[in-house]
Amino acid sequence: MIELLNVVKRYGEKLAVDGLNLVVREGEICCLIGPSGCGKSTTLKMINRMVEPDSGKVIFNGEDVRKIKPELLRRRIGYVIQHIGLFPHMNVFQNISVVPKLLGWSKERIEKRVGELLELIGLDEAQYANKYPSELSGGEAQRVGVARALAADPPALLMDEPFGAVDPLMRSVLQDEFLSIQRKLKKTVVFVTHDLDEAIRIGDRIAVMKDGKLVQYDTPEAILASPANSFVRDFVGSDRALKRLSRFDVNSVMKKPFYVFCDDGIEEVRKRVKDKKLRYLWVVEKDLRLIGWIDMKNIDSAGSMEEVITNSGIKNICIREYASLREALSRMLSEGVKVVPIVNSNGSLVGEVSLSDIEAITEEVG
Amino acid sequence: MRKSNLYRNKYKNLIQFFTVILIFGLYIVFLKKENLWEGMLRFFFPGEKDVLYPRASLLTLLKEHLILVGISSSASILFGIVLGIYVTREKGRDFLPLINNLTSFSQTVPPVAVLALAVPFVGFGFKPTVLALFLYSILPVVRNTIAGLEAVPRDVVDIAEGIGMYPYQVLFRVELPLATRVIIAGIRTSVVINVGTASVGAVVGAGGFGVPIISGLVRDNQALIIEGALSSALLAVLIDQFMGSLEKAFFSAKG
Repeated sequence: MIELLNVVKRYGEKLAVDGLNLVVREGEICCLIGPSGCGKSTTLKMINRMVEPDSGKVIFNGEDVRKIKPELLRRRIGYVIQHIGLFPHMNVFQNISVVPKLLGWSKERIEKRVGELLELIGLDEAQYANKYPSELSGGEAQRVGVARALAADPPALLMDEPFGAVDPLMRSVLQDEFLSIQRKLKKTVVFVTHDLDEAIRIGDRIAVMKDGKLVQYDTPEAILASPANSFVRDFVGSDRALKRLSRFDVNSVMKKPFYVFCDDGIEEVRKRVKDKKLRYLWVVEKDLRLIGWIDMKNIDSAGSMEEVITNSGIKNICIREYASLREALSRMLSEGVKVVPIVNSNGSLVGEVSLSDIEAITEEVG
Repeated sequence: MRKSNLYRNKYKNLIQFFTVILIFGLYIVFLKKENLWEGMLRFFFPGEKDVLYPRASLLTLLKEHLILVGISSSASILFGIVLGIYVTREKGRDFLPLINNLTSFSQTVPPVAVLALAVPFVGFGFKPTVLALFLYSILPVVRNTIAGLEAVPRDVVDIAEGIGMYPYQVLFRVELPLATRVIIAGIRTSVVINVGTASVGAVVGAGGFGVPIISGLVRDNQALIIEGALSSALLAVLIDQFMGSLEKAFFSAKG
C-alpha cells in the first residue's frame, strides 16, 4: 500500500533519513518509533509530499507519489498532528467537512457524512456540530481531528503523535477508541510516536528507527521477544514481559461473571450460591449496571441484601471493555484486588478478569 | 444559551453600527449649520472680521477631504495588504526585511517633504497630496498584515497544507480569516492617520479641511484654524468609530 524505497533526505550536512526501505501493508497500522531526531516525522511527511526526498522513491497505492499533484495526493490521505490543528475559526461541522468541500461534495452528502463521523467518534451531533474548537476538551478536539482525517474516507491515514498532547488517562481512552474504529474501517495507518507503550498497544508492526535508519521492523511481539540489537533492547527496556501485556485486551481473556440482582432476596441468593464455592458475587441493577459486590464470608450471617453489598470503591476497580491487560494488572496491584469486573460504556457488567488469567497469558507467550 | 448570546451580540453590534451612521448624519447637518458655527466662533473670537472661511463651505471642504482620504487610503489598504501577503509567502520572504525598512522609512519622511519633492514631478494640487498620504499611511497596513499572518499558528497552516489545500486556499480559507482582526486594526490606524494628515494637502492646493487652517495661519486668524481643525478632528473620531463598529458587525471573530 505504502512503500518507501531507498529514501534519502538531507537537511544541510545532516542526514535526516538515510536509505530507508519500508513497506506498510494494506489495512495495517505501522508505528514509527525512535528517539527524537531519528527521522520518523520526516519519513511520515515524505509520504504525503510535505517533504520531498532527495533520492529514492515513495509508492502510494502502486503509484509513484511524484507523479501525483501534492494537493490531490494529500486529499487521498488523512492527516492528524499532535497539536490537533483544528481550524479555530471554524466549528466542528466545518472542520470535519473541509476535505469533502475541497473535493466538491454536495451539501447533502457532506451533512450525512459529518453525522456518521460524529457518531463514529461518539460525539452527539446536536450538541457538538456548532461548537468551536476553543469550547472542546483536549480529548474531544483530538477525536474531531481524527474525524476530519477520516472525512473523505481516504484509504490511508498519517498520524504524527496524535495523542501526544493529552494526559495519560485520556491517551489510553483515545487509543482504545482509535483501535475500535480501526477494527471497523481497516485503514492503512502510519503512526509516529515516541511512546513505546503506545506503539505496542496500537501497532500491527513497529518500525524502530535510529539516525535515519531502520533498525528493526517487525510485529510488537517479535520486537519484544527478540530485539535485533542492543539499541532496540535498551529502547524496549527491561520490563518487556509487562509491556507484552499491552498487546492483549481484556475481552480476549475475560470470563463470564457470576452476578445477582440487587433486588433479589437474601435467602434466594444464599440458595443459588450454596455449593458453588464462590468468594465474591457481583451485584447489578435490572439493566446489568454494576453497583457493587458481596463478600461471601459475610453472606451467612447477614439479615438482608443491603447489609452485605459493598459499593464503596466499585468505580475504582471497574475496567473498560477493550482496555489492555496491562491496565487491568496495574489496577489489580494498585487496588489490592485479585479480580476486576469489566464494564461496557453504559456501565453494564460484561465479564471479569482475574490475576490467574493474566498469569496464564504471560506463561503462554513468555 | 450561548447561541442566543451570540445572536444578541450580533444584534447589539448592528445597532451600534447604525448609531454610528446616525451620528455621521448629525455631523453633516452640524457642518451645514453655518450660523451655528458663526455664532460659536464669534463668541470666542469677537475681534476677527471673518470667523468662517469665506471662499468654500464646510460641506465642500468635507467632500474634498473625504476624496483625498478615500483615494489615498484605498490605495494604501490595497497595496499594503497585497505587499504584506507577498512578503509572508515563500517566494516573497526574501523581501520581508526590505519591505519592513522601506515602509518604516516612508513614515519617517514628513508628508510636507514628500509634497515639496513631488510637486516638481506631478504638479500642484491633488496628485502630490494623494501620493504623500499613500506613502505615509501604508506602514500600519503592511505591518499589521505581516503581524496578523505571522501570528497564525504554524500547526494550523501545516494541517491546512497536509489535508490538501492549494496555497491560495490556505491563504483565503485559513490565514486571512484568522488574521482579519489584526489587519483591520492596522487599517483603522492608517485611515485615522490619513484623516489628520490630509490637511497638509492644502499647502499645495489640494483642498480639504486644511484650507481654512492654512488660511488662518497665513492671516493670523485663529477662528479659521479652529474651524478646520475641529471639523477634521471630529471626522477622524467618527471614521474610527465607524470602522470599529463595521468590524464588530461583520467580522466579529468566533470561538
